[in-house]
Amino acid sequence: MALDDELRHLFASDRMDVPVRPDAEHIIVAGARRVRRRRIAAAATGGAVVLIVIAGVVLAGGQPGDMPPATRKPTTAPTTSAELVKTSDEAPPAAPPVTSDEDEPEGTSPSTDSSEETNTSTPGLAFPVLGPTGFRGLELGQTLEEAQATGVLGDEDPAIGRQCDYYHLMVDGQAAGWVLVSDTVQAIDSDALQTPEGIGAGSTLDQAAAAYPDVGDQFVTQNGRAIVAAPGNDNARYNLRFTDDGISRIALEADGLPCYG
Amino acid sequence: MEDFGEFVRQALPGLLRYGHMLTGNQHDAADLVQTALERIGARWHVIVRKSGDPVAYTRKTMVNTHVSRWRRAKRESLLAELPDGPAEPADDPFENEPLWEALRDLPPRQRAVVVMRYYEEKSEAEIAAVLGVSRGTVKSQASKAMATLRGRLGTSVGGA
Repeated sequence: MALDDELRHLFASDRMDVPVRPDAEHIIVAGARRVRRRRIAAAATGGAVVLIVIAGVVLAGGQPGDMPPATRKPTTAPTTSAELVKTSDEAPPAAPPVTSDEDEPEGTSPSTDSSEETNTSTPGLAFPVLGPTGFRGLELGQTLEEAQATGVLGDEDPAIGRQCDYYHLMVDGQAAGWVLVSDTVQAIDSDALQTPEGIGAGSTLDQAAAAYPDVGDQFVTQNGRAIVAAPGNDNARYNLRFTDDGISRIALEADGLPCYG
Repeated sequence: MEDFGEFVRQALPGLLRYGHMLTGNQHDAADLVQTALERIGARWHVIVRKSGDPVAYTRKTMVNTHVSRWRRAKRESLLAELPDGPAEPADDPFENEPLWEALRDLPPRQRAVVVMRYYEEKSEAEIAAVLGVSRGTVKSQASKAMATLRGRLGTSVGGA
């Protein structure tokens, strides 16, 4: 029997059924309520922090209106070194996946199908460039309407994301990543783009470290990702996701983006 | 939550089967389904309003949760207990089957691609949309997965 048919036969087997306890529904519904309560509590906490910050500005003699919009022009300091990405036990359902296997977009990388080729010294990628402010007119900080006008924002996927909405990123007419939107565009995430420094899916750790000195070996090994400054934009950073074979995807993120956690 | 509870009751068996395929064992399947459904349930009305197929979206959430850095959480198991008291469920019914063992050893995303291709009969474009990757990546992942499976199974199976 052909492998295709073997797989279909296996997946159709009754033995794939999983015995479930009678009260499973109630356990899940109760769990969903807990998750919802945590989300509401987290949102309330975030609102309180905003109020405290505004109060602090007023007390310091400034006006709340003096503060730049939180997402359009983030005021947090640029990331200058690799740092731990905030994580929690409730990561977004489909936060840009961190995978344990190799990404290798067809026809875009000089490497073909060989892990030893990931040790070459020149990136030589041929992806479109994800610049420090955005991609083909789509920029961090744009409103949804502005982003939709660029033509590279696809449909929203409502199944993913909690703090931010996830829209398909359209690269040359094909969905090839995500655009994370809160009130404004917060991140652009793809396995089919490269940074202006030539780093993208298929780049090695050595290549990334050569392009971005703030990539740290130990950090990458422990976390599978590195956050590096985006040269040319003090309010953004690149989030490089690594597998054992090198980078699997990259994202341009606004500093302080509210999408994870 | 009433509608969500009804949805869970009806969809749970199928979702657990799907989780079994994705994860390779019943324990992880149950935990993956629970994780995904809790997240879906927490924003149930938004999901229902924006999508017409909650099962498809739950599957999508399961896939992306599974290929991300998901780890099993310590929580109450959904799995049925044996009649004589708390116990582990029966051994995996596919234990020692070469194809199942080979599938289970694939990286999570490659396995997800195989499941979406041969269980859900999704196209490369549809799989790419679920995973948020390019079609080229789907193609290369599928190719690697099938090559690995063929290599593991030797000449016991053939075909494209």
